[in-house]
Amino acid sequence: MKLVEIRFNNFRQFLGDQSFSFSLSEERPGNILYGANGSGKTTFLNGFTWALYGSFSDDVEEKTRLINNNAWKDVAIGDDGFAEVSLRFLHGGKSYKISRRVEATKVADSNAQNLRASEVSLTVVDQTQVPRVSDFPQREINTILPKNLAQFFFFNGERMENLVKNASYADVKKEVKGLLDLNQVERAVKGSLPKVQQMLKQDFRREDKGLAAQIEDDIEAVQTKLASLHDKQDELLKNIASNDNEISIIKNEQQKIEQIKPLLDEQKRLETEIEERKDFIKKMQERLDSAIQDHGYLAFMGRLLEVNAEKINELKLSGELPAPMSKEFLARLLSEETCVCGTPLTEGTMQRTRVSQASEAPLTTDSNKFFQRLEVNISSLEDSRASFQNNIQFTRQQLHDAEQKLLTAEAKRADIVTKLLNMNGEELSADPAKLQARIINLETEKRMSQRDRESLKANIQEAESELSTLKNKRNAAQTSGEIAERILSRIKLVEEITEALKEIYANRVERLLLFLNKKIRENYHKISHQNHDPYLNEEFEIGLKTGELGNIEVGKSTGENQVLTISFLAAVSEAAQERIKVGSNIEGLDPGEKEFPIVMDAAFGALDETYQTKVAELLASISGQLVILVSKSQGQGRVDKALKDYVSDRGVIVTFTSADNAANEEILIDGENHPYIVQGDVDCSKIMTVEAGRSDG
Amino acid sequence: MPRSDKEIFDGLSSEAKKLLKDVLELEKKNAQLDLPIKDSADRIYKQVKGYFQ
Repeated sequence: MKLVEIRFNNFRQFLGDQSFSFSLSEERPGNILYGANGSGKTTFLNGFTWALYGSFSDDVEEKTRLINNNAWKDVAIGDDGFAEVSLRFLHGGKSYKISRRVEATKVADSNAQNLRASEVSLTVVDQTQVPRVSDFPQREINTILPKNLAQFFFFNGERMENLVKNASYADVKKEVKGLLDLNQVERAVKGSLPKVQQMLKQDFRREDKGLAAQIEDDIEAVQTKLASLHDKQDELLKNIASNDNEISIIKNEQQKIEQIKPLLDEQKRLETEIEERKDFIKKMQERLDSAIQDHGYLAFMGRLLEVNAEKINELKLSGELPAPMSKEFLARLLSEETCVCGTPLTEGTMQRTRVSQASEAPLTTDSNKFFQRLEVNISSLEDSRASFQNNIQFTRQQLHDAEQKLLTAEAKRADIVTKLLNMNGEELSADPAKLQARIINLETEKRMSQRDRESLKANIQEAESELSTLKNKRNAAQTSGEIAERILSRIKLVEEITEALKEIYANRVERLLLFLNKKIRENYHKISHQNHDPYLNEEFEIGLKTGELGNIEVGKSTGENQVLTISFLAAVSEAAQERIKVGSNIEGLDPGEKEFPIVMDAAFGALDETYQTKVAELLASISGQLVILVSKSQGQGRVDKALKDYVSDRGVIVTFTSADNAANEEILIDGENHPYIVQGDVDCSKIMTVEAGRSDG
Repeated sequence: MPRSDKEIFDGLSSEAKKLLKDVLELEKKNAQLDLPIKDSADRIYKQVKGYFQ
């Protein structure tokens, strides 16, 4: 999808007909629109999703007031007012124009806009150049860019930050599912197929009066139990995320109290030390377990090795080992004239001569070699045993030392917590004792939820195993007749495809997580100078870790959250582009075309200038076409510089204001001043395109 | 190593292969049209009843 032009007509802030054409250049596909606060940058962004799907992002206020206020003022009572957004774009070698229009009739002298349902039209022009008006515009748009995917291409940087900051991981997970191209799989696995099974099971119960039908009842009961366990698990995950979020907010509050900063710094240092020690202990424990598993048998050999060596030596000295046995054995073969393998050993044969020579030859050379090897082996085993014992002793000592140091660090941290709890907060900006007490409560709640989650996991595993056993029993049970048998075959068929789809779904989630993790890390390190490592876990929780082993959780500051958000969004956008390239051999899972633009409002938030430059470079590197909406303070300077060779089209959303205290303001673009805020008679916004060296309004 | 979509699909019985394709196609259309799950379930049920006659 390549954006060609967006056109607003009396839509919210935009009075009259306002449009902006986007760069289609392969080399310079970047576009920047500057606008003051309240100028309509968010409206511009939402213009895309409203035209395409008739929807707005959550941060848009007064969603039912779409007709520009000035235009509405001019509508006579009894007449209709309207607002319209048209979007032209190219996709798959075709040219599209979608227009959405909403109307309202003005009743009496009211400001209220009783909007009627919006009307949408889609015109498509292909190679034949004959325009075709789509009969199903919404369906056609959804096949080009499904609505739930659109949020990863048209987004508000500030709003999306909440995905990382707040306890909305379950929502992130849901939204990212759109990337898996698996909405239809999810509908089937969680919606239609279970319903089909229910219907088939009702048929089965009607037809079958035997054991299989009884087992089917048990299966249904276990399935209900499993569904409830999964719901509880989701609930616990939300609680844990919410606790984490609140703890992080309170810790930020604590940092604002200057008087307790030294204590908090020491607490943070101790927490890092505790995590490192815990990790070391875990590693030592694993090393110990592995050594015992691989060489533990040596510990039981003790005297056994020495006793055996002595015994063998005794037998050797007394001549009982090894010659008598061999000689007797060979003599017997010669007297029986047959080898153990069946070869005849009759007089005159070559085979008999060989056995005969072997029985007469002195065995000392071979047996001596054997005993030498045995002695070396026994001695080597004794060395291994000694080394194993030393190794175990050393590791145990290290473990003991680390455990002592861990106890000391935990005791010191407990002292700090006690100090914080006993602090008098009357003279401070906030009460440290209350904050600390709240953290303790939240951490306790979190631990309880984590414990419950672990036990739920075990219950789920148990129920799944029970379900599998019951299904096997049912499949083996006798049914009441041919009809029941047929219905059972259908039930098994639906179960077969349900399991296959579940597997496809799980695999895709796993592959997506691997991809996202790799990309988030790459993107994060392109922006941040911090020695942290971002991660996205299987619950789609995003976090930062640090430390030599990358195992220490880092509290996220506002700046870190923004960098993390951008890294995440860029990774998600890349994944959305990428998934299109990953085909499937299953009809219904085949992806379509794949390049989409990125339109981003508030891309830079409150990032400092160095970060702004790097974010700008990152965005430019990942998208086929980029539209950035920024304020003058955010966009100019380093961002402009970073995108200099990438951006070809610029625009200004000029704010017209009737406020008395407003001053005219200009914006300098490519060495020329252009209007930014203009004092006038009406309150509205107008889009001005800035072309190299000139501008037109 | 998880199985690929193709490996999973190839491991299915011939009836299951056909039904899976039909279900996915139907759900893709119904998801786009935002049709209720019941519509899909009724259609799949009717189709499944045609199997093993």
